[in-house]
Amino acid sequence: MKDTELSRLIDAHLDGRLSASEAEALSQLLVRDADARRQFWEQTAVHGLLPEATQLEWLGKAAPEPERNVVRVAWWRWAVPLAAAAALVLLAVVWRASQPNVPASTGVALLSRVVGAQWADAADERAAGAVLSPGTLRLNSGAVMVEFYSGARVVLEGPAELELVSAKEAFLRAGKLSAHVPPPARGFTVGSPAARVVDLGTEFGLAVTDAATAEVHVFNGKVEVLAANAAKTQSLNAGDSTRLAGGAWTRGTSDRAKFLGEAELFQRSAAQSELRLAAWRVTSRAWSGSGLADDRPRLPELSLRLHYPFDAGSPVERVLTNAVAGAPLESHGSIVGGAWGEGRWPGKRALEFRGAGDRVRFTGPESFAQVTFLAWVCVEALPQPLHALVSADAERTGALRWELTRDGRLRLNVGRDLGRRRLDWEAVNSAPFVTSERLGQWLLLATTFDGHVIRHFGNGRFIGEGPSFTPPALHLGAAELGNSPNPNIRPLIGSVDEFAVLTRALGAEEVREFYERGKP
Amino acid sequence: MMTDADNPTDGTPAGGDATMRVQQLFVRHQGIVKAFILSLQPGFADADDVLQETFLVVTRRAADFREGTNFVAWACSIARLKLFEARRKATSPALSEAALNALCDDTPDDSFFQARLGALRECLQTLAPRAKELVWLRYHSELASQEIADRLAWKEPAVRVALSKARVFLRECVQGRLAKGGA
Repeated sequence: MKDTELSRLIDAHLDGRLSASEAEALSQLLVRDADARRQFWEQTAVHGLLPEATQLEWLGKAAPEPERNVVRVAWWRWAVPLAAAAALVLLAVVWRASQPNVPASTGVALLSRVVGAQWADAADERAAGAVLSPGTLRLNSGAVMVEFYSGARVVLEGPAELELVSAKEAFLRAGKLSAHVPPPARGFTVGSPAARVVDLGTEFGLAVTDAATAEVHVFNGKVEVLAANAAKTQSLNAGDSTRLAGGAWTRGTSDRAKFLGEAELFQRSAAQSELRLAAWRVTSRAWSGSGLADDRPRLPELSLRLHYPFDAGSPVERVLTNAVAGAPLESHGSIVGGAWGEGRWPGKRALEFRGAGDRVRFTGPESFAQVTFLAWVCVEALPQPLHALVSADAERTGALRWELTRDGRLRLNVGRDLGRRRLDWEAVNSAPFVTSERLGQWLLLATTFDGHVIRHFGNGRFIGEGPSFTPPALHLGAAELGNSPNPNIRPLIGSVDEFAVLTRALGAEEVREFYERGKP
Repeated sequence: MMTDADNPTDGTPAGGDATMRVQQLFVRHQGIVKAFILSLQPGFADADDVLQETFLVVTRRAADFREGTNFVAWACSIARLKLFEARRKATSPALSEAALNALCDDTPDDSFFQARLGALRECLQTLAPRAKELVWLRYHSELASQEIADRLAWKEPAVRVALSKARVFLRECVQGRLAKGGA
């Protein structure tokens, strides 16, 4: 009897649903009784280990069945854009890329920091550096910092739903935020279902639990608060708080600890970056076959031929090391132009492609049946019809060119000799992915070709596919990264901080896993 | 676990750089350290904060780690301090400090977690498809039960009950496997 009660309490603890008296009862039991502690560890171990147990084995092993279910859920969300994309992909298996103009940015704010964020909708996933247009941010957990163009800064703590109305106005539907409003942004307004807060140059926190409740805390300066159905505003000064519930206001003192401030967010962001960078380094080394023995995946299954982590050597060095164990000398890249800049995390380098001549020359594999290109890229602009990611020098059957189109589509070209004097390139485009709201962010671009179908992925998600003819063999050979010997293909404008070529077409789950392990 | 594969010169570019070394060990054993934290601090986001802060301290104190001693035990002793800091800031009802102390003193060693992790991976394959999907949404995609309910058009309490049942099933399966394995 006692055991079932203990088991129920431990379950409530795991669900975060202990009442105060239950927490007290469970605590006392655990302090008193060693058997209870044993049961606690036994019962919580399943909860604690499940995140690890449901991780995909790092490449080379088929994904477990349920992953498909998850992918299927994601598929539903993509169903409409995919239907459109499918139509476009069909159109895309032609020579010429369509060239609509990239719409001018309608941004009102910048997403400046993202810490452990889980977005409510995977399609809304944004990384630091994203320009935010009017619209709604839905955060399930984690925290982000939004810098409005007016100068106001907001730390939003998940779960929360914030609508960006303009550079000077936001609407908090649910959740908590803290706002820092410097003098130039005075008048910055945050609405909520129950009340509006007009800032008069200050720091304040706002919490919304439901449509009838709002809680305002002022840490600095002064704000004006107006209930939704009232005509008269009330002023709050530094140190004041007020809570609206059931139509009545209750005044109190402000409590900073209730809100996540900028300093704390920066600290968390730094901790997260350090851990993610260290984790990436370990996997990256294991992947190249130079890590600890039992971290090492089965290399033949990986078929990794080229891996530039952009993470070793001195910055003045002009050689880009191919980290694959035992890589042939000619597979190391040679940097032409290009400056070193910051990569996905502080302390991680990336190569910037800015000038018309910037490129990395390398010798890729020759004669293979399948291919996967993976690149972590931060694209600054796509002003021309075509921008190079990778370009083989050779113009021959099976030669590969990987590009971005002006409207942000990934494009893989395969050389095809149609028996005429000149070579044709068959191309399969993705749906637009590197669109204006994704410029300036680190994105994982990936394309696979299994000899029959070309598939594109953006940030680990499927973004389009199309059938291709099957050339006798695929070919890279002498090639370049970020530029092309073909004058019609313009250089990449942006940075690259990891690049890999595999002579096997990775599955969707593997690409997704590569994204999860490498995302900033 | 700690095997001869943990040769300190393998995979450490600078050859014995203590910081790189503990970071490498941390990343490798992260799943177990996280399991320890999640048992005491069950929310994913809060547990991740504790994990990250633990990592920072581990990095800063890299020189204190003695090669050949148990890394997981060392990392968990640091995580324990961070758990207490988080406990002090907690606003919702949580285990008392005395209970946390008693539990930490009785923390099973890493072979306990390691054995259960292996068994758990096998047991996951035997879950019914619906339960498997729920477990994946909760633990792989880290969705809250409310979000899972929204996605599957279920009621939230139904999701919680089903998840709890899945955990019971997995626990019993793990126990069964460990008993059979002569552990």
